[in-house]
Amino acid sequence: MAISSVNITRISHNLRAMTLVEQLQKNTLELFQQQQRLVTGNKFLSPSEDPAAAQRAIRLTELLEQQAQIEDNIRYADGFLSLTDSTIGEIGDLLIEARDIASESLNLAGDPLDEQQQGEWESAAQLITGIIDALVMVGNRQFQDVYIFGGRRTTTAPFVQELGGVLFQGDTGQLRSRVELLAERPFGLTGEKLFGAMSSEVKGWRDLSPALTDDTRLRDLDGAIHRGVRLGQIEIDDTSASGPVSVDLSKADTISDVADLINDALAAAGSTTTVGVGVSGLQITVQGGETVTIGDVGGSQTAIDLGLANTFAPPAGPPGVFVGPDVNARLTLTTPLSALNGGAGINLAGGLQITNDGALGQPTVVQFTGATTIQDVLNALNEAGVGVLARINGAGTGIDVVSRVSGQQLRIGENGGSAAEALGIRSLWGDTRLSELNGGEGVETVAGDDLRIYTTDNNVYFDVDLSSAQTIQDVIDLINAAAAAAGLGVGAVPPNDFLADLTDTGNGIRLTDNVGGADTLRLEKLNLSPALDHLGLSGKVGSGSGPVTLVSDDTNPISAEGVFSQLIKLRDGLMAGDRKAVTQAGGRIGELLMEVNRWQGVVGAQARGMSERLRRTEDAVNATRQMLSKVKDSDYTEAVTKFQQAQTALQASIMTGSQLMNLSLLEFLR
Amino acid sequence: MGLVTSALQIGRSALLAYQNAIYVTGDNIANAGSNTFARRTPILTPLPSVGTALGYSTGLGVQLGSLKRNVDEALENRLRTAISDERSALTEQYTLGRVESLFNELSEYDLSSQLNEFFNAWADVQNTPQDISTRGIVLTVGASLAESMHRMRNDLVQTHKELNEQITGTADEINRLLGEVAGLNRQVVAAEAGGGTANSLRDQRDGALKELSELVSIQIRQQEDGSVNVYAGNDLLVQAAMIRRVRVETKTVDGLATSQVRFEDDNSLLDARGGALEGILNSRQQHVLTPMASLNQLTAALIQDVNRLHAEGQGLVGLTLVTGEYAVLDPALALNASGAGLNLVPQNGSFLITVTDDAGRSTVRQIDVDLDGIGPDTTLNDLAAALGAVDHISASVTADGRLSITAEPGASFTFSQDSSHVLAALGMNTFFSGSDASDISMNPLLANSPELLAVATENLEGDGSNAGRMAALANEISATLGGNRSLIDFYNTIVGAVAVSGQAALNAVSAAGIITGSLKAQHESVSGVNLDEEAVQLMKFEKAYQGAARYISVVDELINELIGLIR
Repeated sequence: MAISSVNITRISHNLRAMTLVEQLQKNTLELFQQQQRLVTGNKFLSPSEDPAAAQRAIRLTELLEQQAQIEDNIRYADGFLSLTDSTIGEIGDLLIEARDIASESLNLAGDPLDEQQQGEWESAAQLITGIIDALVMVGNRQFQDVYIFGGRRTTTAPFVQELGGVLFQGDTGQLRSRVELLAERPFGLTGEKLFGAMSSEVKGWRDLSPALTDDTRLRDLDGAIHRGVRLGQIEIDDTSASGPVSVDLSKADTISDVADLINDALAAAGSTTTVGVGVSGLQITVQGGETVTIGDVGGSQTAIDLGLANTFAPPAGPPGVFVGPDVNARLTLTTPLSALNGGAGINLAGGLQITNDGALGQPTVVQFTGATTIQDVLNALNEAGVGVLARINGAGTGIDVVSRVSGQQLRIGENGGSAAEALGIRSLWGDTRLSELNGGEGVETVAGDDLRIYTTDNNVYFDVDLSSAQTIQDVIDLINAAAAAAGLGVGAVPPNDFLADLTDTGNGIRLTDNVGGADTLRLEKLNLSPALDHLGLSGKVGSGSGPVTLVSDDTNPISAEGVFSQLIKLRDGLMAGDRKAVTQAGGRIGELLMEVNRWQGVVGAQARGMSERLRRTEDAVNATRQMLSKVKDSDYTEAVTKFQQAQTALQASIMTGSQLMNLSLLEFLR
Repeated sequence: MGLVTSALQIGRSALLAYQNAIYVTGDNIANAGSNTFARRTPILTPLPSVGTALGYSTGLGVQLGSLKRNVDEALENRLRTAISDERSALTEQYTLGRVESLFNELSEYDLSSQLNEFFNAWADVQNTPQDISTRGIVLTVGASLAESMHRMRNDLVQTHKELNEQITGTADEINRLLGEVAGLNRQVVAAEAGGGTANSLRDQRDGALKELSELVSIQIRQQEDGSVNVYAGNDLLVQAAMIRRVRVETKTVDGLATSQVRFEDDNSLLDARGGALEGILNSRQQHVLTPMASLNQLTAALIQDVNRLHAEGQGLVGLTLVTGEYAVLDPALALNASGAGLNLVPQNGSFLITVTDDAGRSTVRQIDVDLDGIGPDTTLNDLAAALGAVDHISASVTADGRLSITAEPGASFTFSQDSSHVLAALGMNTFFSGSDASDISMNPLLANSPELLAVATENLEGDGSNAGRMAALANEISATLGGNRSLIDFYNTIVGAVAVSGQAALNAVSAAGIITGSLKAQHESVSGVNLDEEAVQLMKFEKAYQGAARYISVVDELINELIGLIR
């Protein structure tokens, strides 16, 4: 009961006692609460004392708890980046050392090398070997048990010396951390980027164009306008239906769900229109004379993304079948091989050959027997034991094959069929530009004819001018044209006695001679043109009975341009006394050094960003603490004053109460 | 002798009257400390005068005409109502204080801190996904969070149980007081049958009625025979000497034993509109069951949101044998049918299962979950059949309706990209078990296997992307709760509601206290004993008594003088 002033005319003995007890209780409670505020330092002891302030305090406390975690995350990322930064510095130092060794070796040596100089170069090669070892060690550096250059493969050393080079076992993805309250950010560098560890890559050049299947998921479509498929509601105005039909596609998962949901809604409205799944898009069948308009509702983009936003109005007569635009199904691991090439499938018979261990290495044959999905193909390539990573490209249109081994050359060719070409991963093919051949040195031609081809009847020969050739296919075409001009039946032209094409085993330009002469099929330079050498046809001879063939060397090995590749080239050049190789490798190392410095700058920027973030977060934490303090913390001056007041009030109550209770007229009765 | 007799009679009457008046004053003084006593005022009335032959009349003295019991019945009724209201408010405040302390907010050990700690642990494991000890912390913190939510719910259940017990105690007390009032009614009627007022009995009855009003709001109707009828709302409780006894009926409502107070005679509910009983019933419903329902809602959302993500993530190693945590009632029904009985209702979609054989070769297969309501929809049997068709694993439906997947020796499997949420719905590869706060716990499969914690979405040991998604749940709109609230927002809403109720209850107690205090003061003003007043009265009556005695002495002297003349 609270004490209240009331309009009363009498004060009873009970009321006086009751009032005193209540007053004492109130004073004691107030004193207790003020004492608690002083002891706990909190303005309120339970949320119900001030729900609004308590809510603010709870939210600020939660924010503080989350900010503390963000600080931890930033500190982790910052530490990681600091180590990465200093490690890149070490890598730079090692590369400077390697570049200086190359430079000193070239400066001190004569041409050709004498025995002593060769010995010095071999010693220098040993030093380069040491640098490679050191770089492997530095590349495998760990931060809190995480390999800093391994990407998301954090427990496996990213670099091992294997398969005659340095094998990169890391991942190409970046680590991520929640360094902001509502977002996570990537940080660090992968070995792939810094060391160029996977730079030798056969980028799939063929769009494998998977056809739609009933099970094709909408998330695996790039959409008619390449924005994916944003699910929502569509509206169909159909003259054969009882009224406008709205279809909610938000729960659709596959392309057949879309067709089912639309057909169901149309049928319910009495429409005769149907939607089906076509090869590359949806297919709309509208009865003759009817008009169907499909569009989006209220900001939805679904009809546009599905290629349905249009009006379909076949003339009276038979039904009109409209094929919607390509919704661009992406390649996925589960894409069946039968769906590739617009549903025509793919012929992988014979398999392909991969060489990833140097020019003299033996090709490894990869067969695709039993493969039914893209993943089966990728598994077969990745399990070939040649240090390659086959993966679906970023656009989801084809596959790329990347070498994990630095210092080696990657070649992918046929194995009696056309699998490599069908998959778009043949390293030398018709569209390969001549300028890319021979490690980018290209094919040099001269004014006039570049080469002469003698058939097996050496009296029959023809000259070829390659100056207009841009690609391998151009070379093949020019040779065939020259052969035809010489009166030979090229390809299917009777008497079918000559053909230039790409070989179906390995890689190279194949010349097939069916002239039936007794001589050898051979080639000869004209006008001192180096084109023959550059095309890998130099010294190639075809002989024997029946159709005679010769095949050029593969002049398009894909080489890694990364740190380890160049160091290995430098080491091998020094060992072999190859001045040109040493010069090239030394020069490239100098360029890589700049590249490494650039990456160090990138990491430095990341580290600075983290430090800045940390400072901002610490400021935010301080601001939150201050706000929390204002909301929650007891003002000690106020609390002490109130405590004093409560104490005084209690004392006053005790004194007045005891005096009042003692006052009684009964005391005066005698 | 007429003169003498009359004169002495006057003196005698005064002596008797003031003696009685002094007794009354003494009684008042004696009861000065009693809360139920209503002070009496002696009403002294002059005895009727007698006419004389001379034509004037003289009085015959004084008598104690009556004893006035200073009670304002209207005030008493208001006071009883105020007491009921105050007691009701106090009971609610007490319960809310208890519930508020269960939530323990503003401390470092409250549930919001634990929720943050849980999500922060996921953020930590995103930094170092390969680290077993960091994974272990997620499991420890998760288990602790589950235990806290479970314990909080148990504490609320315990509070609910205690309120039930209080209802039983209150009902017993109501019966006792009804009996007491009825008994006093009987005594008052008997005592006042011959005239007069049975003040003490009435005081006792008023005391019992005040006690009763603390338990339940009552209305009193005074009867002419001196008895009172007592009502609670429209329900008659006491009529003269007859009472309607109440009893406690306990039924199970939503899995909880719930007590109600009913009349023994017709089994109708007691209309409890005030007093402790109303406070208990309100507290149980609004301050215990409502937060409990919200806590269950929060826990269910936490379980479903976390499980949805966990089910489609991957650990450091693949799974070899998984049996769903949640059973369907009928495996031949569509998985989203209400008859399937799944708490988390799956939707039309698909998921990927990646099977790694004993040679380390991985194969991904897409499993469609057709739940678009068009044509045949996917049942648990269909799902098991589709999974069973995947190489190197077998799938079956257990006798109790759970999905079970087993990998061949040396093989393992993982899940990803589950747009149907069917894996979480069936409890495959989930983080939490249970459906709400009553049974939440860690998935036993994970408890001792931190390597199975689904931190990744791309099956790499350094991929912490799923952990990042988990950490983001702290601030993201909950997929289960709907609206625009995150899990933590929702929890804050629960705490806020309890706090606001607590403040409202505190205000209600203060308001009721002011009214009660005012009415008590008025009651004391009317009925209370003031010792000073009584001292004055005492002096007054003493002096009057002394005067009367002196008067008798004078009359005596007069008589003696008169008798002396005779000699």
